[in-house]
Amino acid sequence: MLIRFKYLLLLIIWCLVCTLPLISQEMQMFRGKIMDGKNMPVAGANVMLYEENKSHMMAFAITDNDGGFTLKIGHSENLIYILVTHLSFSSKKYYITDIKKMTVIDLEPQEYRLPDVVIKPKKYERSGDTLSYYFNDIKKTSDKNIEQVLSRIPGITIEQGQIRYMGLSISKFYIEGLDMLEGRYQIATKNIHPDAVKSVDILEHHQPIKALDSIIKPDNAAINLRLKNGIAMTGSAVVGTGANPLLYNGSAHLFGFLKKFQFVAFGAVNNIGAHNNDLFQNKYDQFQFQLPPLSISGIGVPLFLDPMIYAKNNEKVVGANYLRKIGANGQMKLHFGLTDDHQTIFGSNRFMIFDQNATIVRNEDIVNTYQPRSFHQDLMYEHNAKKVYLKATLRAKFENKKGIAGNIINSLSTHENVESKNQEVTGNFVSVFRHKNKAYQINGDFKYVLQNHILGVTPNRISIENFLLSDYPVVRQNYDMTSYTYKMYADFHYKKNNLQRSYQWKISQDVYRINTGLKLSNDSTKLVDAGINFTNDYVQNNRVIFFDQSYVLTFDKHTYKIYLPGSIHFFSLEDHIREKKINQSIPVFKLYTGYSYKIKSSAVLGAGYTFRKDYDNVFTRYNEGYILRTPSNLAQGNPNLNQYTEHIFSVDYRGYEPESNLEIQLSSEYFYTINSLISRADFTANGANQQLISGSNIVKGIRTKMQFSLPFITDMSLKFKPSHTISTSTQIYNNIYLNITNQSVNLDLTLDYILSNSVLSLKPSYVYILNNLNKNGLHQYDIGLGYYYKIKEDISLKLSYNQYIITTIEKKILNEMVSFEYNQKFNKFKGELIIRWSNITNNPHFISFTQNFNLDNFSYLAIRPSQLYIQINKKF
Amino acid sequence: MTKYVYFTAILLLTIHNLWSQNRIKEDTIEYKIKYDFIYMNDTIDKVYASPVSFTLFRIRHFSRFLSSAICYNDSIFKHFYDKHPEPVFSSAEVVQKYMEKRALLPPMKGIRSEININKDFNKGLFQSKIPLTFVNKYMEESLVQNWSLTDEVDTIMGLVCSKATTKYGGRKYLAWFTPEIPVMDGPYVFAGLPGLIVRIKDDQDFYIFEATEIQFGRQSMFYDPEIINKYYQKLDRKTFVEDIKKFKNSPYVLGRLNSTAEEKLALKKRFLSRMDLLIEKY
Repeated sequence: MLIRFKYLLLLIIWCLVCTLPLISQEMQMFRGKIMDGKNMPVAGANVMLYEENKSHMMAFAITDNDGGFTLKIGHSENLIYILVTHLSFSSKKYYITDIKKMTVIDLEPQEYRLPDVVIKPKKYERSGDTLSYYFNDIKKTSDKNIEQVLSRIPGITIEQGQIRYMGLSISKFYIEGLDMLEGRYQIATKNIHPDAVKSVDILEHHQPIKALDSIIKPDNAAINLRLKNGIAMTGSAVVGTGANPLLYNGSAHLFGFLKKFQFVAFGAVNNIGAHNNDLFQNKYDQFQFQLPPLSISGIGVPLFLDPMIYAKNNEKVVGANYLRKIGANGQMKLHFGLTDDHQTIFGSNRFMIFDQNATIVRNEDIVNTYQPRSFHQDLMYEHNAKKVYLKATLRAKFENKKGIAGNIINSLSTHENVESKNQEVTGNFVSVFRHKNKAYQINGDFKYVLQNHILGVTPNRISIENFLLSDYPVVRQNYDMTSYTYKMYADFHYKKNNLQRSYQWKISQDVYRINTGLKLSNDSTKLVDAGINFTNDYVQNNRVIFFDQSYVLTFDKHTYKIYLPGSIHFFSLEDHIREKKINQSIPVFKLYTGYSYKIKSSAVLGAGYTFRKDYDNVFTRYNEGYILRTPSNLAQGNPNLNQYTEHIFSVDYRGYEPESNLEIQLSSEYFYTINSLISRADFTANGANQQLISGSNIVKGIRTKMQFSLPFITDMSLKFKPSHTISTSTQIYNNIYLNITNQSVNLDLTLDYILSNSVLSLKPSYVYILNNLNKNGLHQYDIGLGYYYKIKEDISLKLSYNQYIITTIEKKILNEMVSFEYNQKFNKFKGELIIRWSNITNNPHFISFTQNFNLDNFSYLAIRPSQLYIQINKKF
Repeated sequence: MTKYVYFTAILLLTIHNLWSQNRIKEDTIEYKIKYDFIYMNDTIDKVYASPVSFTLFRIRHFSRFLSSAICYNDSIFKHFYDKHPEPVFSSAEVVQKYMEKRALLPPMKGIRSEININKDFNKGLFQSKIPLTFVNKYMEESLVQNWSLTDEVDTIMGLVCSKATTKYGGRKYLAWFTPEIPVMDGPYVFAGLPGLIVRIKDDQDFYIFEATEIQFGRQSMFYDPEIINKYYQKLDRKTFVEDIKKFKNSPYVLGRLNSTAEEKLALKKRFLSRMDLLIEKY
């Protein structure tokens, strides 16, 4: 057997040896070199082997850096040749006659010409930067709105109602060349039927200001819808009801898009706590919350509570927009909104104000009815010609707010009423003038405000100079303010090498005139002026010239920054009653110098120093002390400005760890501020009073913030935000100077567990507040648990549970809130059903607690009872 | 609240500055070819995602293949920052003013695929960055692909193309290249054929790259030359593939932390259909 195997092996080896020459005859190596005609090798040339009269390639090679190549050539009946090609040289065909011969081929330089490339034609018409698509070509019978049609146009994507063209958000949405909706185009795209539209234009590089055309060519796009009959009407409606008590909610929109003008009309009523008035808020403006100067007693409402949980309202809202073309270049736009509401808040407050000797307890049962009425109107005119662009906007706002409180304070029935009138006129203008290829722009805006507030509190206890403390059944305060402001500005930025420089010039002026007064009566018929101590007539005038500079120097990983904003405030304050006048020229500096170092590509360490010499807005100071609701001594406004000097040293680190997706942000700052005003609080048997008086007050402390984010760890996202603040300040309390140290610790955790069709959320947070004058600290725990489940593509459930706990050594307060929501969409019906069950545990109150070294305060906010609410949304 | 907005704005502006502004350079390119990248996001019903546009361009001995949206955004950033250098963000007012200017910045294009390939023809290597924003990892492999020529000839975009096959990244690919354009380059990591690769797809039709625009001649282009730097981590193929898979199953995008449960769920579902992330195997 072994001998047989040996023979077999020898036979195989012999066969292989005999076959080798045959194989080597079939595949031969052809070597060569490609040169550029100047004896320099050509790298990267393509060497392709072809057989005569055959189109497919037999083999190929690409030359190396020495221009060399090697091709394996098999047996061929026909002539064979190589074709040498290169982007910078003309092609060359070379017939191979001797495979074994090393061949050198010279190429001649030649500019490459791209062959004719056939691009698949697309169905659209192009005119300059405008592409037009006809709806009949692209729409389907199943399309119910123009959003579905638009999404079929190449380059357009629509996500959550936002239209993008080639990935860019559109900058304008015109209907027949008019943009009435100003970004609220979803109203049109989701409601206009495709049959009403003839075509859509996509305007690439759209510059809406003609005077800037060709000077500034933005890389964006706009959409213009052309209507079939020049008219399209659309609308939507919402109807909702619930119990108990009876809940109602209804709203409707009606749109009209015509060639010469467009309009939208909107109306809504509800008593479910919804604020449809928010729809009138201009989202371009930064919202600033301001407390009214006079107001009736209220109750603290935690910011995180949804008004639909507690607010009992009866809101009616009407609004409309109208836009009309004027001539070839003009456009006029009108907007108005009208709101009438009737809100009632129930609850109670329990204050305990104390010192070592005495305690005042104040129990308030609050029934607070608030009736805001407002009307606002915007008028805009735009002239958009080739040489001149003008845009002027005029806004007027009229508000009338009435508040009535029938409260019981320490078993004594107390009546309060407030009436506030606010009239505001604001305007701004933008002008662009073009001369050849240069354009000049000037911007400016102004504001005029007229306010009148009257607050009546009965009975009230007032202490008047030279008189004993007296109770008056009728006390009426008034506050009138007239103000106007204007500002104009221009910017300049420049960059050279590693240095960036920026300059800004600005001028502004604001003038306020404030009149306040107090009238008293022992009976409700005749009101007597309370005298000069209760009367104010101030005029504040502030003219400011700003000049800001900033420099940024960057070297590799190092960045140095200096910011030098400087301004001079020509401030004057005239007290017409006491015949006092302050005239001051106040220089204000806000020096900042900073350095940052890029540790690695995803981490930066920075340090900075800020020096500020500034002053507080005196205007706010003069409003303090005129609300005479509580038994108190009347506080006078302080005629001195709070001029302060501040030093801040800061360090921060921001880093991202790609290995673990961990994001870290750490920042810490030490601040040291010397104020020229100090808070003085007095507590006597007659009551409590707080005001600001002249005196040095040093506030210093350290603020530290951290944030750790692990967005997804195997279907889980986590964010942890600890922070700590400690600060000391001085306060005068009953003529004793107290050094107060406040400390707070916040721990905030957000944890989401994402499953295939549901998300489980846990949001616990913890706050610890400690004051050195308090014996014990206050702990606050909030635990939020949410579960969102998507049953089907069009059905989802949402369940949420929140627990709010406040504890001190002596007290423990617990609030629990549970709610449920079912949502189903009916695509055929173009409708949506929402079923909401709120306050499932039927809690009567939401309880809050705050404390200070001399104060404990419980607030009981009445919340809506357990309610079931059903809503249907319908589009037509 | 104002403070929060202020700090957030500073943070965002700084992050943006770090990641893009200073790195964008202008350079001369030899050619620019646009490709549509089409991938199947439902292999059962054989549904394809809408095409994603990619750009291939050559600078000296390098060529880059990356999303056309990134190319576009880079040029927008470069124009904007040359015109409006960043001031020192030392107060809310300065931030607000600058944000107002930033509002004039034309909207960026959405980046639907972050595939980013750098080919070095001198060294015969390519680098492929993990196709995810803010993930600083990459893979480096040889550019040599063993191509087998076939007899098939076709005409694509009016160009006569030959067909060749190769195996790469655990898949078999079929490529159509045109000797009429003598460039040994192509989409994604593919190169080494004696003509531009006009079309390439895998044999299961999961991934297709198709040329849509071809431009030759020197022209300037804004781009970020730093596909990787010294802080980037080099991975072997297995770790590279596994890291991408891990992300795909548990997606993370900066700034999404405060999104609602519904949005998070939608993000996860969206990434489940991101089959472009699975193009590489080991």
